[in-house]
Amino acid sequence: MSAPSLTSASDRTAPAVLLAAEAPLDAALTALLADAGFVVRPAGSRAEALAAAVGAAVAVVDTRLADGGGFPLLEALRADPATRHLPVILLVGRAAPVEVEKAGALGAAAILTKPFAGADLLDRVRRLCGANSARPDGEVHHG
Amino acid sequence: MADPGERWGLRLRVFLFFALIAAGAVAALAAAGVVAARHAPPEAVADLVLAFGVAAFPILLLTTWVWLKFDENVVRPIGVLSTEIRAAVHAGARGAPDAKVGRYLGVLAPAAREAVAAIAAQRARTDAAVAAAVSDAARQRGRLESVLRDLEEGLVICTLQHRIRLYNRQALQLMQVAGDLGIDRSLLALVAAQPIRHALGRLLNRFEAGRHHDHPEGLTALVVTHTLERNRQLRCRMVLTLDGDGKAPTGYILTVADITNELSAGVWRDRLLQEVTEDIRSRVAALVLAGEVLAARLPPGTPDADRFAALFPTEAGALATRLDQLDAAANDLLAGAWPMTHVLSPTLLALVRDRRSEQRDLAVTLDGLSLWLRCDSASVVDLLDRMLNRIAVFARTERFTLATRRGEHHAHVDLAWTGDPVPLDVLAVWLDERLDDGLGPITGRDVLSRHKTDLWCLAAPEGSAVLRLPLALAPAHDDRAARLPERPLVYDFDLSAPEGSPRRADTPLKALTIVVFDTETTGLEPSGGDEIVQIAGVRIVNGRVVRGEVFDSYVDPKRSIPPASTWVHGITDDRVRGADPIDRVLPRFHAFTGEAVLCAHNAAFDMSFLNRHAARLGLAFEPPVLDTVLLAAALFGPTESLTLDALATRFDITIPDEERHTAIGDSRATALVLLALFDLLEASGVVTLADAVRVSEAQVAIRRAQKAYT
Repeated sequence: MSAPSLTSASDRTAPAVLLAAEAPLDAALTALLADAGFVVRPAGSRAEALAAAVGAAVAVVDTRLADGGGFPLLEALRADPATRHLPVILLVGRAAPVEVEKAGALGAAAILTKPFAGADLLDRVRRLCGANSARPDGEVHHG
Repeated sequence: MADPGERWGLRLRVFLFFALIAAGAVAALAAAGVVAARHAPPEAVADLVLAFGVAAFPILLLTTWVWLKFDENVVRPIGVLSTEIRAAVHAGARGAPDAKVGRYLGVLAPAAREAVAAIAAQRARTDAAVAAAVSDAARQRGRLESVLRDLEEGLVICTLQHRIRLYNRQALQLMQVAGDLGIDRSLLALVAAQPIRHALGRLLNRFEAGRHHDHPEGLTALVVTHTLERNRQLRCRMVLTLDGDGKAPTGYILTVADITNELSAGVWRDRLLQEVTEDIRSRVAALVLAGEVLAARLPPGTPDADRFAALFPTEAGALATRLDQLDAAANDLLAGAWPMTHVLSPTLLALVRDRRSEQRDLAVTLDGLSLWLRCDSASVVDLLDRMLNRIAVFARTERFTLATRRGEHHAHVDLAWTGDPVPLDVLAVWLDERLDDGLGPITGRDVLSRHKTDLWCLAAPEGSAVLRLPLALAPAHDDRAARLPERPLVYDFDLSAPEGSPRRADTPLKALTIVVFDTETTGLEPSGGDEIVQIAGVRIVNGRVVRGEVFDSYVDPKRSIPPASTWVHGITDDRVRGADPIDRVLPRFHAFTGEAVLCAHNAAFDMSFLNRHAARLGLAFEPPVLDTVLLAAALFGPTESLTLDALATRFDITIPDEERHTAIGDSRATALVLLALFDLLEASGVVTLADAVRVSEAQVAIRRAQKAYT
């Protein structure tokens, strides 16, 4: 259990995480990220996600989204100057090499294939929160 | 009957000839009378006139009589004979001229009758031969038809213009044709055209470039098309057919199988597997995370909390590994349900460049590596062609670069242009459009899902953009060397004809199954330690050399080959080193000969080598053995040149230079010489195997006698 060490983080200005995922994953992810001290900005549609992305430290995007999927959202985030450098963690439902390659090509900072341990996600979110301020381009981690 | 070119007929000429004689004689008499009358006293003139009349009358009478006889017995018979000869030559009349006609023409009449009879006999022979050939062709066609009928697969033979030339019943059923398929109908009226055109184009390109020699699929290509009626999916194999010389394509053979059910089951299984695993992944991910959150929120000191909390990440990891394994199988680009072919990337790219479905003037430069791809090339070409045309409008460009590169797991087909990349949303719209009608009702997305791949766009340096399509790399093509050398289709629809013992003494020569063979040796003395270095043989069945049925093997002689022998046959010590020894090769050759009659040029020489080892190995080559030297000697006399080269020249048989004095080349030439000899032997009454053995033995006896006297 790593939660207690995080309580101090919420005292300061907590980093915001854009979360674009659908039920049932969104509830569990929201709880996980909130418990870890992040400010979660859930987005149900692409428009919401694009709006919520501005100022977020990290985006967690599920490829399984109703309106067109996660890849177009990733592409849209990359195309918008305001969110160009926002690190995106892509949650993919298939471990196919083509999928992984496409995610990397479109500029995902990290990829996690479902299912994954909460700690793995938090680890990446934290790392990218730190990296985001130091490095404009996120490093690609293949999960 | 007068020839049109002749001004006067023969009878008129002869008549004029006699008339001239009569007129000349009478004129001479008259002249003599006039001269005599001048010097004679006037009272004698009356007597002179009377004398002229008495002399002229018999001359005229005799001339007329002789002319009449000549006309009746010479001129008219000549006319009759010439008419009959003409009738025999041109009209095929068989009746011999009346024996009385031309009695007084000496040998001309008998000669003419012989000529007419000879022409009639020749005509009868020709007619019989034509009839035999026709019935032979009919029999062969019957066999071919029964073979095709019993074939489980559909079979269609088409011209290069897709006109149907032959088909079987299964093809009718598979192509959903009610009634007759119809010879000369276009195949493209029955099945989706684009895959057929595409495959034929690929095969023609491959043939023209000579790449079929080392292409793993030779001159064949897989085609997946569907019927226009009822949309049945067909898996076809297209084989390009060549003319007799193998120089030019003449059409193609298509074997057809219906894979609709197989395919839909496969596609359904693929899709289900994909959807189910993806769904499981999401749900399990939610469960794991929810569990982890709950475990973290438990008050400290809850029993077993730590143990259960630890369960979530470890089990999530284990489950992910298992699902990855399942995914690897489901997403394997090589294991899809859709039939795929191997295609060389430059070929594929060139086909995209040349597709020009919308007739736009696009400049497409080809680039990149040459890689073997595994895909359904017809649909991939159409997909890329569609993207090319859409991007041309979207990015207002006409210049593209199309390249293949090697990725980590697969090949990349990259389409590059200067301009903006195409957003995924736009691509999605394009992918939902239907592709060419010739492919049937499929979209670009269908093509991607068949290939279990995806495509996307990227901004590239210097204001350019790239559309990337990953495709599976074909498994390594290193097995090319191990492939069998290309050999012609081995078939003979007549093979079933001669049942029973093929070597009975009364078997006609042309009905014999014969293995014509040749050996190359280290020298000429089997008793002096010379050995075989190469054996080759070809098979004759039903009077034809069977293509592709060949025995050809080097033999390690276990001794050195003298340079003089190497100079003859070109076989060096190095060449035979590592080859099988005679103890291995001879049993194989014996098995190849089977029940066939053996034949060689100067067979005694070759047999002396074979028999020496055969006895030791417990093999027996059954007599009789035919010998082209002896058979030729029986026909042409022993003094003629009877070398293989001389006989080949005589029969206009050409031995390719590279095959001259090789065992296989000489075997082929000997076989052709033998077949030519059979024709001549038959004409001189040597028809059966026993006849051939008899004339051969007579030649042996002559040779023995000659030897005794020299």
